[in-house]
Amino acid sequence: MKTILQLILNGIASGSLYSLFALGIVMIYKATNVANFAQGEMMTIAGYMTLLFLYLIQGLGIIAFLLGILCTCAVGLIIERIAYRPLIKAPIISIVIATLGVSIALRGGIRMIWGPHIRPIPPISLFGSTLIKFFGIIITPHNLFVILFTSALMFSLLCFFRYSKIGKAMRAVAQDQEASSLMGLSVKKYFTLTWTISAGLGAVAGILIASLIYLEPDMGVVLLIKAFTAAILGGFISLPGTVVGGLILGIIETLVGYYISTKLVSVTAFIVLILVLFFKPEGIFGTHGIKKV
Amino acid sequence: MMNYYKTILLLVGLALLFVIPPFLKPYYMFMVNYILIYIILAVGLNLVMGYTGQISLGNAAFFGIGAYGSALLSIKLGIPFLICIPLGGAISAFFGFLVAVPALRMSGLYLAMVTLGFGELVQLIFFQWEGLTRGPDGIVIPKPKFGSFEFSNDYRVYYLILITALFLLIIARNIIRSRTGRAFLSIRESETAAQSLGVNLRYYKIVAFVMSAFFAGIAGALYGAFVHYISPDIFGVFESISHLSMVIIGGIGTNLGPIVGAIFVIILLEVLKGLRGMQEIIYGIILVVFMIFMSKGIWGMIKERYIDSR
Repeated sequence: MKTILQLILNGIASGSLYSLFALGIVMIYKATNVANFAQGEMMTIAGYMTLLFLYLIQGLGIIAFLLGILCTCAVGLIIERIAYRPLIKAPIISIVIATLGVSIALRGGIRMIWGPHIRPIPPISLFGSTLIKFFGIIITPHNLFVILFTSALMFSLLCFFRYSKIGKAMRAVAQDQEASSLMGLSVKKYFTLTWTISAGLGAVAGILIASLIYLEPDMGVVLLIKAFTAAILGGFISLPGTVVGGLILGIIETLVGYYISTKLVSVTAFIVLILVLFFKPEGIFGTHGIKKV
Repeated sequence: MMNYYKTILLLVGLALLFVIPPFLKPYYMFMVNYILIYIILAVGLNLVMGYTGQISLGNAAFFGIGAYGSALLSIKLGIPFLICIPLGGAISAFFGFLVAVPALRMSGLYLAMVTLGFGELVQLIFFQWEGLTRGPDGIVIPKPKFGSFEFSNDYRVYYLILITALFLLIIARNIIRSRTGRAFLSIRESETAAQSLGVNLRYYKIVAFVMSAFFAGIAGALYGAFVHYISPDIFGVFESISHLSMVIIGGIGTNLGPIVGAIFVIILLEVLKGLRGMQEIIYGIILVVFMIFMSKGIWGMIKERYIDSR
C-alpha cells in the first residue's frame, strides 16, 4: 500500500508538469484551433535560458528560474509577431505548418548555440535538500516544490479564465473571433496574450522537467507527444480535463516503470494515446462537438 | 493543340530520362537517383496532405519500415530483392492502416499528433530491437539481382528506380482522376459538405493515408537497394519534416508540385550539407516564409500565374 501511494505521489509530480505543458497547448487550441507543434521547443529554450542565468548569477536558483520564464515569454511574443500574426486569417493547416517550421528552426538554433550534448540542470527548490517524510511516504523537496508550484499556477490560471476581465475576453475571442471584435475586443491583442502566456506555461514546465531529468536539444519532441496525450485524455478543450489528463498520464507512467519495465516508460504515452483514441476518442471530459457550416 | 504539344513534351522528357545516364558523372547519377526516391515519397505524402488536407508527421517511419522490411525479408528469408520491394510497400501500408484507424476517428489535428508519436516509436524500435535490426549499427544490404543481372552500380539501379517511380506516378495520377480522387478533393474543400453529400470521410482518409504509407514503403525499399546501408538515425522527425517540406515548397495538392519540391529540397540539403543546425534553421524559416507569402508553393504559383490564367 505504501509503495503504491509513493508511486502515485511521484506520478503526480511528473504528471503535474505534463498538465502544465499541455495547458499551454490547449489554450492555444481553444483560442485559434491550432495545435502548437513548437511548444516543445519553447520548453527546451526555457531550460537552456535558465541554465545560462544559473551560470551568470551563481546560487540564485529561483531568480534564474523567473528570468528564464520571462525570456521565454519574450521569445514567444516575438515569434507570434513574426510567424503567426501574418497568418491570423490563413487556413488552420498553414498555421500548424508554420508552428512546425518554428519548432524545427528553434531546435536547429538551440543545437547551434548550445551544442548537441546532454546537460544536467540543478533542481530548483525553495525547500532545501533534505527528504521530507510524510506518514512513511518520502517526497523530495524538488517534487514538493513542483507539485505546490504547478497546482498554485494551474489554480490561478483557471481562476484567471473564469473570473478576470482579460481572461473572459480571451475566452470570448477563442469562442468567436468575429463577434468579439464586433464587441470591441482586439482579436490581435488577445491572440498575442494567448501565445505569450502559453509560452510562459511551457517555460515553467520545461525548466522543472529539465531539472528532473536533463537538457537536450531534441527533448521537445518526446515531451510534446506526452503533452498531446495528456490533452487528448482530457478532451482537448477542457482546461480542468487537461490537468486531470496530465496527472493520469504521470501516474500511469510511474506505475508502468515500477511494475512492468522502465524500458516501456518512453512508449507508454503513445500506447495510452492509441488506447484513448480507440475506446474514448473524445477524451474523459470531452464531448462530441457540433460543427457549424 | 495545347494537348498535342504537351504530349510531345512529355514523350521527349521520358526519352531523355531513359538515355541520359551515360552522360552523367557518378556524383550526378547518385543525386538523380536520390531525387527520384524522394519524388516517390513526396508524391505519396501529397495524396494525404494535398488531397485530403491532413498532416502526417510520420512519413519517415513508413519510409523506414519499407527499408527495414524489404532488407530483412531478403537477408533473413532469402526472398529475391525485386519481390521484396512491393512487399516492403505492403508491410508499410499495413502499418499505415493500423495507425490510420484510431487516428482518423476524430477530425482535425489528431492524425498529425498520432503520426508524430508513431514516428518516434518506430525509430525507438529500430534502435532498441537489436536482435532484428542490429540497433544503431544498421544493416548492410546486398546488391539486388534480377536473374544473373546485378544492379551493381548507381547507373544500373537508376533504371530500377526510374521505372518504379514512373509506375507509381501513373498510379497516383490515376487515383486523383478517379472517383476516389474526387472524394479526396471534396474532403479537402469542406469535410462537412463532403459528408453531407455522402462521402465516407473516414474511409477515404484511411485510403489516402494507406496509399501514402505504401509509396513511402516502396521508396524505403529502393533506398536500401540504392544506398546498400540503412540505420535508425535516418528515419527520424527531421526526415519526416523534409518530406512535408517538399510537398509544401513544391505546391501542396498539385500534380507536379511534389516533384518540384523534392528536387528543390534535395539540392538545398546538399548545399547545406555538414551544417546540421543550419539545415534545420533554414528549413524552418523556409516553411514559415512559404506559409506567409507563398502558401501555394512554387509550382502552385507558376500554375496560377502562367498556366491557369491563360
